[in-house]
Amino acid sequence: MNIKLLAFATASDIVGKGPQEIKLEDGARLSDLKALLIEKHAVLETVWDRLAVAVGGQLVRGDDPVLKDGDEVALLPPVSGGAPELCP
Amino acid sequence: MTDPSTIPSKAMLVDVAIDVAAVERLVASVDCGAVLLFLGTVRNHHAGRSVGCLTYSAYRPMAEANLQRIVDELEAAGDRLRVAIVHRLGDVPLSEPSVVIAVASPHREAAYDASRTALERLKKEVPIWKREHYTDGEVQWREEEPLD
Repeated sequence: MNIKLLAFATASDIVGKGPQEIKLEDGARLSDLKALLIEKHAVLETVWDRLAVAVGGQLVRGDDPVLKDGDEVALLPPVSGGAPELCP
Repeated sequence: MTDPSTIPSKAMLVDVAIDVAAVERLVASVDCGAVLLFLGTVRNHHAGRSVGCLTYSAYRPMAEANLQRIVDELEAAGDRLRVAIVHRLGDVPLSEPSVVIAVASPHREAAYDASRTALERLKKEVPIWKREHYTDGEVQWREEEPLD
């Protein structure tokens, strides 16, 4: 099966912005995708715990879901919408 | 041809300058005595360094869905409250708004509360990222709040 990977902000600097098709064994879980990505991009392991992951636009919140063919998986670093407020 | 300044929805991402009056018109109604506008604008420094412009990017479908959820939940919890949130993506020049929040309410206090809550939730729940372009040529992602 194939999933579609998207990455944003610093995660896109590591794995590419995408969308990229990634081939996985049928029945693969998110943790299998993570292992595959870390094999290709070792630095991803050091930042993985900062990332939120969404499958089909829904946050997985620490779960390890089974992925399905065609799923869209997004790597989402901490967000920074809105205007900057902190002053120096 | 579509007028790019038109803001047709109360929870939107736009790629052009935000038409503030159009955001206000989305919420204004005859039964609301208070209309509150919040503009978050790009300023020229961060942590003592000079910023030339900001570029915003988003995981667009999720960002629009989560903005809509914030609008829907604030309106459902309020008394005749109307809320609109518009965030700009792409390059935003200095002093232009990157986000505009409009709230209309029969009661002033409820409008202030909803405006504040809308921005606080946006900063945590909406997958948008800013990239700062410093005038010395360096470029840096800002990553501030874990997405919730």
